Amino acid sequence: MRELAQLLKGNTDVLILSLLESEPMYGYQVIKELEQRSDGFFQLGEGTLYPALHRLERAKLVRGRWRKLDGGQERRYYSLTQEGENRLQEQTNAWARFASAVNLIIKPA
Amino acid sequence: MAADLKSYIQRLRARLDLDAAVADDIVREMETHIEDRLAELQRGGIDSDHAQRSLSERLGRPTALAREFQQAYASATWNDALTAAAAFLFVAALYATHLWNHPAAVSGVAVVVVAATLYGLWRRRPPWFYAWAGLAFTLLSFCGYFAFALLQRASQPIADGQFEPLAMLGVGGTLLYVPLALIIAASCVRAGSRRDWLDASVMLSPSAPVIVWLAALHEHGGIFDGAAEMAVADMALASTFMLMAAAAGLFVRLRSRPQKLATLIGAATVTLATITAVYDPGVSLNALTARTVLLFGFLLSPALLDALPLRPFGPTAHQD
Repeated sequence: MRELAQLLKGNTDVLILSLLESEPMYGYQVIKELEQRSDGFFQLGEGTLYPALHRLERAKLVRGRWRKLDGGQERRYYSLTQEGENRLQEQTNAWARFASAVNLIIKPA
Repeated sequence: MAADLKSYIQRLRARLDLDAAVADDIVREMETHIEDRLAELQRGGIDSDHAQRSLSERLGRPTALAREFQQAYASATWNDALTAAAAFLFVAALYATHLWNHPAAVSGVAVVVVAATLYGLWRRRPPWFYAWAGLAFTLLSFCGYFAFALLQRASQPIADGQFEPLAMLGVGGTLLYVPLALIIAASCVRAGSRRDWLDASVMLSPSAPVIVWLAALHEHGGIFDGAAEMAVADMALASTFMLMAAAAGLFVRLRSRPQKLATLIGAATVTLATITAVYDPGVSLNALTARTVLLFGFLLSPALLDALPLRPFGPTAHQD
């Protein structure tokens, strides 16, 4: 489990950026969406997600804005910036190359 | 929101040593998250008390969460770096234009330095703050020098048995100033190292060249009489402060602590070499070694204070 936690920690940013690529989301929504899309494999804690969102915002990769929901409550929505899109593209390409190289080693044809 | 979770949020807010607007935003966001989580747990059939307990456990200690947020904001922007560098550039300009003995120019710079420091305190010490606070800190040395000059002037008539009330008042004020200045200095260093002792070291860094410069100034006859002789070294001092400006900007931008420490030590070494070359080129190796030890002891004293188990000026530890 510790190895998986380390893997998740190292890839939190790319996972968050990937989710925000489809639509702007608020923190709780990101956690639920990540759980749902990974069949419960990825469960981000609040202490990981929110500081990561703020770090990404500070790096200008995402933009946070308060918006009103239909019920009148406000939530802080995060959306991807152009810089964030570029970073996501770079990280996706790097991940694809890395995964394919690892597969060549651990699952030789 | 239940009392436990309200208390959690209050403790989180108290531990967020960030810009007030940023901290308020984080707290508001965590409150909305708690609302969503509680609603989810209650939808799942968990009663309110259990839901709150479960959520408190899930959130962990407020100190740990606050620390994560602090780290997210630890890296500084280029604006922060430029603002930190601007502090030393101001002083470099004062020397480069030979205006350091011009009362209006010096007062103007002092007002800007104090205003920027107070603004930084109000903004809860952003990354650029310590460079400005360091210059404000040098005002203690300037006041100390004036107090010393006053004491020196008053001591002769007193030695001759003339106890003039004004001279006695000056002596009393000066003698009172020294312990007061030491207490203020220690409190500032303690407060500075509360977040990180490296920040307190940055705050001390301009004091070393300023103290040496004041000593040289006194040797050359004081602020007005020695101006012409001292002006020869103005460009060297301006260069030193420009180097300190570059170091302050770099220090703010760097994320690794060893690199920050190396920047601080590197800048201090070049400053010491420049000042020695300007004011005392024929210095002996022993004297140079003693000065080096003194300088690094002074700069790194916040690390020693930080390592002390007793913290007379520090905050009381809180338990979560």
